[in-house]
Amino acid sequence: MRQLNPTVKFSAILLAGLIVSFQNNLLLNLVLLGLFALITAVYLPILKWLRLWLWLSLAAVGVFFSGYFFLQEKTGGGQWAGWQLSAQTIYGLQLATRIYCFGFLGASFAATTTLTAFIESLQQQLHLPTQFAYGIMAAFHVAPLIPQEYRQTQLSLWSRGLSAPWLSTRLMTPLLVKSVRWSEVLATAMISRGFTAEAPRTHFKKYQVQWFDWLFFSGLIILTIILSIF
Amino acid sequence: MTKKLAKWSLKDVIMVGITAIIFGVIYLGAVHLGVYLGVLLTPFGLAVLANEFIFGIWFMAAAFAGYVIQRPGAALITEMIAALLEVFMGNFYGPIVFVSGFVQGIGTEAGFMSNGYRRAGWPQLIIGAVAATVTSFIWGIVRSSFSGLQWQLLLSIFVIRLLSALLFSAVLVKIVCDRLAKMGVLNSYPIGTAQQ
Repeated sequence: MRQLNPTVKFSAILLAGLIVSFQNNLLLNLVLLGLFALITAVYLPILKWLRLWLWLSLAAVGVFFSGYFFLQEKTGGGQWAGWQLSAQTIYGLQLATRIYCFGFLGASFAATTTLTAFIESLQQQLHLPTQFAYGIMAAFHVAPLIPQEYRQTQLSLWSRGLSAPWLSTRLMTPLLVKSVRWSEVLATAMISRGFTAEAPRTHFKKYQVQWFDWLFFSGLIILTIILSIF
Repeated sequence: MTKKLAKWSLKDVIMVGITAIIFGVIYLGAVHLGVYLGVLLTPFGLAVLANEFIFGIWFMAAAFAGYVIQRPGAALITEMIAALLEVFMGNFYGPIVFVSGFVQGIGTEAGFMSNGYRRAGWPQLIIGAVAATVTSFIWGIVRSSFSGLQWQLLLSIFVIRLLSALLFSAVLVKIVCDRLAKMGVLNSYPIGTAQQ
């Protein structure tokens, strides 16, 4: 998975997710769940993998009971893999397995791709404009400063005997002032060091679409389509 | 598409990127709250409602950028950037979040489109919030397959999300932006010059 072209990987997973979205297919959900749970198990440390199961399970159990209690047509039911299940259970399971399915599909992408690789590949495969590529990367690397800044504003309010709830304008305003200032400073710094959007660029690492990218893309899509039909 | 994107300046890209991350960080904090609330609501089958109360925070980055930059595509592109950054900040739903970002961005964009991007004010923010609620609701039904749920539950999802969108992405964004404009922080943007 790490060797795959990020753009192709992204498109394949996105398309598979869309195919899952537009139908209610328990078998498809389960197969993708199993497959991508295995793939993520290879790339994620075991504790992170278990934590992913925990978070997804919390969401999935909640959705299961929503589906179970609030199904419109409660009559009927059916056999599934030899088990007699009520319509409510089937609907609940369809909703819950979908959560796992999206979760593991997404995690398999995030665990094997870095932002830099993805942006570089978007630039080379889809011609993402340069200022977006480097602007997004610059913004991403500002992220660690934000909780720090938030905490500082909170502390300075406390020291004056003021308090502010979590989304109050008192805390938001300084943060947004900073975001405007940071963007001005960063953009000036980048431009003063010779950044231009128009100039032709060479790339240290070349991203190409190779045969195994096509294999992954077509393999995943053909698998989802076959499972959708049967 | 690529040509239109090429007109953006580096400063604007970084600004919307950082804004998107700020709202993303706030949202991640809120998500933990949402999960606990969801666990509490699970025995009643109402866990799907937990996230709806804070859903409006999703639209804030788009509304903020659309209101400040006032240019075609600002809201949509910001929401897409926000979705992209979120994937790498630990939202495990991955690429599918990108579709959600697109859908929500289109909704918010509709508000600013409604008067041809000339001036943005209350009507544009409110139309944007309502449209984003509608588009994200339709996509939510498709993505989560909620079409089989009872209409009462779907209606409560819609109403709570609408109220949340109005509170966060219309009222709160308007208050904060106007305050920033008054401070002179946004003088290099259309909103700053419009307020003077």
